[in-house]
This record gives sequence, structure tokens and C-alpha cells, in this order.
Amino acid sequence: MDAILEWLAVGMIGAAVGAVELISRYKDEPDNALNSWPAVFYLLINALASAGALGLIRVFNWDFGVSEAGAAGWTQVILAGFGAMAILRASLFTVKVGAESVPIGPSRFLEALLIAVDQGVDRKRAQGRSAVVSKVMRDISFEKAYLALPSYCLALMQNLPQAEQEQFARKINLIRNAKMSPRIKSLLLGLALMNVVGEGVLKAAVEHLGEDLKPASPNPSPARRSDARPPHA
Amino acid sequence: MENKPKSDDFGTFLESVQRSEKRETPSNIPMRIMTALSRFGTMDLLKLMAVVDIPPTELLEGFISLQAAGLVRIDESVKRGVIELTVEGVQMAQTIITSEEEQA
Repeated sequence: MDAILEWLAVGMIGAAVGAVELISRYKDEPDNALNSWPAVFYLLINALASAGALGLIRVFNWDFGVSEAGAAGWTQVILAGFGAMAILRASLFTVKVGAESVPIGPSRFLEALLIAVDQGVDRKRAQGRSAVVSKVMRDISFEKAYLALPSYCLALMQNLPQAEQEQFARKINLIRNAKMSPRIKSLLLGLALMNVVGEGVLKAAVEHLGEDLKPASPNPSPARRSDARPPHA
Repeated sequence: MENKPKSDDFGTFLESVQRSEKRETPSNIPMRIMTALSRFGTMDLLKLMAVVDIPPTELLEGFISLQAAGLVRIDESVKRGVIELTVEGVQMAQTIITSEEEQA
């Protein structure tokens, strides 16, 4: 039973390291990052590498100086799990191919896999994002929203580091200063915000701020006119 | 020991935007750089200059502001260094291109 647990644990260590790596690349939508075939394959490769390392350690009977059987087994599991992850991310040397420096080693293989994961996740997210941003930001005025909406979202998030706030502000400035239609600016604002706070927070913020973010209507609706205070009341 | 109250949820963002409102002038150059990179792929600064047809100083300013915003990066594994869009840069450039095509 212990042996099965050890093999499961070493696989879990590898998969967990891979999962943390993927989640850190897609902080806004971690579930989406893991929910694609390339991502599953990436986790599997990490788990198999850890299991392979444990297999090698067992074949050569390395006990790392631990004599007690149970403790030696778990020492092997931990060292195999994390050791394999370190080796998998190492590059042994760099070769020059034309003007380019190419790192040679297991990391090259992992990088290629990560690119596949990125493309898979990006494709999946891009389709959904485009539709969501168009819908959420449809009636939003960029001029009214570019300060209020991000401030509200960031306040909801509470913990966005100052460096990331600075970088986000720079994005907003670029959009604000660009000569493009207000609609495209609103879409870009929504996209930039969604990358920082995620879809749920953006939707909630737009819902809460509601009318305050919409362009001033030249002809207020009858319902709104009836709400207005009479001029000589 | 008393914990200091959290003083800044969005203050840094607001200050940064308002600071730049006072000193920056409208410019479309960063967006032109992004759409060029999206259409033609990664390229070095010289090639980019030829593609977007922008004076070097303005191109450099545009590039620096894009880099600071995390929308482009330099791949330094190549000898002269090529400029490429980040994942977010790709998303933004594609949104601009698609929206402009829809409007045309």
C-alpha cells in the first residue's frame, strides 16, 4: 500500500509543480489554463518525469543516507519529485544557430510544450473573451469608464501589487491617448481589465456601476424624465 | 504589534493615470507598432522602423511605452534583439484589427 502511495505522491509532486507553473502564467483564469488538452499533457509529462526519476533512484537503490525503510522511501519520493522538476527545467549548454542562441537541454522540450499550452489556452480563451468583452462593454463610454471602472475593480480585488497597478495604468494611458474610435477603446479597456481581474469581477463591476458608465443620452427616456426633479419644485 | 491599515487599493493606478494626463500628448504610434507586429510577426527595430514609417525617436518612445505597459518585449536570444508582442499585446492588437475591419 505504501509503495502505491509513494508512486502516487511522486506523480502528484510533478503534476503540482507543472500546475503552479501554468496557473502563474494565467493568473486571471487559472481553471481555464488547466482545462485544455495541451495543459493536461504538460501535467502528465511532469508527473511521468517525477515517476521516472523515482524509478531510477529505486533501480540504483539510492537511499541518500537514510537507513530506516519508510523514511528512505519518502526521502526518495521528495527528491525524485522536485529533482526531476529541476532537471526538466535545466539547459546544459547554448549553441549559436545563425544569430540566435539556442539553449540545449530538457528545458527546450518543456518550452516547446509550454508554447503549445499557451496556444491552446489562448485560442480557447480568445474566442470566449472576445464575445464576453463585446457584450460586457457594449454600452460603456470609455471617457466615463477609464478611471472609475478600473478603480472599482481594483478596489474589489484589494491586493493587486503597486507595480502591476502602474503597468496597468500605462496600458490605460496608451489606450486613452490613441486615436481610435471610442468603441474600440472601450473594448480594449475591457480586455485589459479582464486580464487583471478576470471575467467575473469585470461583469460584476459593470453591473454595479451601471448607468454611470454609459454615454449621456441626448434624449432621456420618458421613464427617466419622470424621475427628474421638476425645475421649480 | 499594530498592523498598518492597507492604504492603497487603487491609489497607485489613479495617481499614475492622472499624472500622465497632465504630461502625455495623444499619439497613435504605440497602437501602430502593435498592429504592425501582429500583422508581420516579430522583427528588429530597424525593420519595424521601415514597416511603420515612423521617425526613430518617436518609434523608440512608442516602443518604450509599450514595453512599460507589458505589451511588447525584446527577445534577446537573437543577436540584434527582436521585438515581439506579449500574450496580452497579441490580444489587444487582434481586437484593434478585428474592430477596424468590422467598422470598415
